[in-house]
Amino acid sequence: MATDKQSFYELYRQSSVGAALMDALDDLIMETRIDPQLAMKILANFDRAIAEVLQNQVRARLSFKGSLDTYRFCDEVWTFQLKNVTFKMDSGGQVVSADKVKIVSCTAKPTGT
Amino acid sequence: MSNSAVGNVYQQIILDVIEASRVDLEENGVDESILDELKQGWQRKLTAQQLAIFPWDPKPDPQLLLRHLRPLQPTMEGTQQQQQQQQQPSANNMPYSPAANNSVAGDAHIKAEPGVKIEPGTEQAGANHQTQAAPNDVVHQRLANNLRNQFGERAADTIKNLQAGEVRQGGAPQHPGQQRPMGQPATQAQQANAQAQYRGTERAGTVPPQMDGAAEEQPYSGVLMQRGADGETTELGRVEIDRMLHAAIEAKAKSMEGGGLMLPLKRATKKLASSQQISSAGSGPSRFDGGDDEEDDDEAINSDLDDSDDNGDEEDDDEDGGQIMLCMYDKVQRVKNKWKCVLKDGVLSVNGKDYVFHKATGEYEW
Repeated sequence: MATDKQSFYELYRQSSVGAALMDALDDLIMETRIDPQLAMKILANFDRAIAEVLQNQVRARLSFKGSLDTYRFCDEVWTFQLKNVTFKMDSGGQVVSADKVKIVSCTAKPTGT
Repeated sequence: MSNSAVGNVYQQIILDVIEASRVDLEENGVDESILDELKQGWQRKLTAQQLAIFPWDPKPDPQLLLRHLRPLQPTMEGTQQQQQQQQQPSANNMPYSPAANNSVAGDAHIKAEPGVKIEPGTEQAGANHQTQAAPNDVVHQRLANNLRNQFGERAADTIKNLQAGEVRQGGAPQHPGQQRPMGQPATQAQQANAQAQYRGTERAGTVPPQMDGAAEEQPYSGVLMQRGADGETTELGRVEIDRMLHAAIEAKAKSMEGGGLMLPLKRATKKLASSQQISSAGSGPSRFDGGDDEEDDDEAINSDLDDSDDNGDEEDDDEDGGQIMLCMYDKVQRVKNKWKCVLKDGVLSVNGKDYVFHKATGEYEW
């Protein structure tokens, strides 16, 4: 169990689904219905769940173009700030564009092993 | 990659997390019913953000309808509408307000439970607080309307007293550091008067949404409770209570000068509408308005995360959109100023919608 928790990124907690979970957990903590340690465990479960679901159940592809504003590579994490980005979804040909998008990306290679 | 897949993917994530957490709950000796609540709270928060269509959403979503309806209301005329409007955010807010879980286990049903006593009270306080930043007459109007509607005849005296008190004081700003025990005699008398009224009704068994001044007579023994945008209930200190009181009284003073009650209803409601817009733009004091909870939550979270997780400086400026892609990278290449990257297993939030992808390729120039 402990090793499981360590081997998944906490990156996705920033996503809307992760933030919503943290919010919901926060509420329960505030009402002292669960303690923070338990919340951390649930978040660790989330780290694993979202990684697995994204890996195993999502088949969609995407390509995007834009201009790179800033980039950073630190501790094996790439951070890009893109401007005027257009995303093309392969399925359905949907195009979404945005003025500004930040990309935070951890290495897909297993770390530490 | 498509938006339509998001609902099912998130659903799967939620179920997985809930299942995986059962063991942890057992280890901690926590009842499993918490998981249901967690799940519901989680789903509600996601629904509120309208990121995608989720499997758990009822088809015609009452939350969204309410939210769409609300901006229209100020254009309707009549005090009843204003009254409704004041009630509406609280009704709207309840499903999102986790503090409501205090009283009922199956929080999905909370909406149908107007009798939770703390709710109207805190809403009331919140509403008053919120309008500090808005045109002040709104406060007074709401206050008066509310009094009138809640207490009928009995309130007439109170309202008159309050208004008369303002006139007597020439609409001058109240002493800001006004402490309860040593407040100005006029106000104190009014408060005592109002308090007597509220106490009367409380004992009569109705549920009085409490007004600002009467707070100390409530079961919290001199303390106002306030629910923040994040749903946590906090005790208001004396200074904060005073500030709210002060703002409310000042607002009343202003409105008696012609800022509110004496205005044609159209203009008054127009102000109301604009104040609503301000509050739904959502930051600062306006977040105490209940109805806009979800948006404020949203911003609060994003800013929190940006602050804690990204210790950069330029990140600050992308709080505005919350446009972010979280993913893994397989490959990042650069030739001169041309970058190519291969990403996978990502979640993308753009323009208020979420997308998930298995693989993504990006090309961009620096």
